[in-house]
Formats: sequence, structure tokens, C-alpha cells
Amino acid sequence: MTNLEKYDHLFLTSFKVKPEDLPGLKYQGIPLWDSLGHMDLMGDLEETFGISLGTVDVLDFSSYEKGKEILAKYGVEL
Amino acid sequence: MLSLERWIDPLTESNCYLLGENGRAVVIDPNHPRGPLELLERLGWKPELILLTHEHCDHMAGLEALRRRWPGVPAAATAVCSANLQDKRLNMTQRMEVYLTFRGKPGVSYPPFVCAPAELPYERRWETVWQGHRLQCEALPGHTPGSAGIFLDGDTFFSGDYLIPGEKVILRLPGGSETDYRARTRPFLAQLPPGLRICPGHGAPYTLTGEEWSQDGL
Repeated sequence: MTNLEKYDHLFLTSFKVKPEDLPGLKYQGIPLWDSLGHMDLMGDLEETFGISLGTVDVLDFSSYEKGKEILAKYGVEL
Repeated sequence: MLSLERWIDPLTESNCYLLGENGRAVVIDPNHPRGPLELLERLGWKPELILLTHEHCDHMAGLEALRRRWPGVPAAATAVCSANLQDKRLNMTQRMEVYLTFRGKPGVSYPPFVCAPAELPYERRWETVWQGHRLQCEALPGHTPGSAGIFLDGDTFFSGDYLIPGEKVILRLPGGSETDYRARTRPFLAQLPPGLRICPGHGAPYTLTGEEWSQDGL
């Protein structure tokens, strides 16, 4: 599985969305991506990619696309 | 005569309860490094036992401070709670700054930390008699895998992060499980008798009417 496939899989399973829903998906844009869902997603990302996200980046992680930029800062290329 | 004191952490709004009798005390959920300790000293109570309702830092941030001040005082917790005290993700300290921001308290510095394991870990149930009072701990997984409720003399129940007035139970923090909650904890809470005094982990104590468990949002 590529990094992008792993990244997408976390969204698909965490938020019960379809692949076509991922572009443009935003924090609080769907019921399951609320504050609790967000913290859960961050934990899963850390576990999947072996990184530790800082508080500022967790709070800045506002969309599916923004998340890709943030992961790149941690050396995770998607 | 038994006294019950409540100390509220202003940051996380969690409750620490102190049971005191004859200058001795039981501490339930030492939620802050200074607050409960200073209250114990002001009251002249020496803690003999610490009980934890679960592993989240807003319920155990003062555990190590009490251990340092009163070496040898044992802490009882579920075995899972004991293990998770040592895990920054599962004890929530790793994400506390984010959590506080979401709760309307941005910009707080909350460095992650861990605690040493409980001296008295138990699996499903543990009880003791202290100063003639019966304390019974019951593992209640769901909010966290290490959660528990604590009965005092059969008429008071320290419910941790269950049965919080006006709040749905939170099952989606790291380690939380709706499956465990539905299978074990919800049925347990549903059979608690009306009239029981509930001392929740957040909010003021109240008397159970028998309907609260159905307000858990599930």
C-alpha cells in the first residue's frame, strides 16, 4: 500500500466516506470529523506513519488537502 | 464521622474527591499536582489510599505529587488503567493542548507526562474496608479501557466520566470503545438504584433518579 493509499484509507475508515468525497473534505464538514474524530485521526496518522504531530500542526490540519502539506513537513510524501 | 470534600481543577474542570475521617484520607482522582495536596495539608488529613476512576490526565495529574509527599501511599486502579498511566497517548497528555483548545481554552502549555503504575492493580473488581467504610471498585470500560466506578458504603458512587450531568458519554477518545460500553458498562449503570448519590468526575454531585443512563446519547 502506498503512503497515499494509507492516508486515504484512514479517512475512509475513520469518517465512513467514499473515495470521491475526499477532495475538499474539511474539518467539521461532516458529523464524524468533529473534534473527537479529529484527535482520533491524528493518533491514527501518527501510528501509521511513525511520526509525532505537534500541537500547532494538529490544529492546522483543517482539510484532506492541508493534511498532505503537513505530513510532508514530517517527511511523509504522499 | 466521614467528611467528603471536592476540589475542582480550574483548567480541566475535573473533580478530585477527598474522603476524610480521623485525620486520614482516601483520595479519588488526584487531578492536579498542587490542589488536592494543599487541601489535604490544610485539612490535616494524611492520605492512606488513592483510587483512580481512569487513566486520563485530568484525573491523575496529581498522583506523582501525592506519592512524593506521602511515600508509600498506594494507588488502586484497574490493571488496564495502571498500564495506560504510562502511555502519553492513552493518558491523553500528548493531546491535552489540542483537547483544551477544542474546549475553548487555547494557548495552554500542557507538557506530556506519564505516571508510575498503580500499586494495587485489579482486573474486574476490587474492594477494601477503610476506617469502617466499604469501598468497592468495579471495572467499567468504554470511556477508556481502564475506567472504573467506585462505591462508598453502597450509597455513594464515584462515576468518573460516566453519568456526568447534562453530558453524553464520550467513547471516541484514544482507547475508548462503544462496544465495551454497550456490552458491560451501560447495563451496569442502568441498574444503579434511584436515590444513589452520584459523584461524577466533572460537575456537581447529585442524586440518581434512574433516568440519567439513558441520556448517554446512544
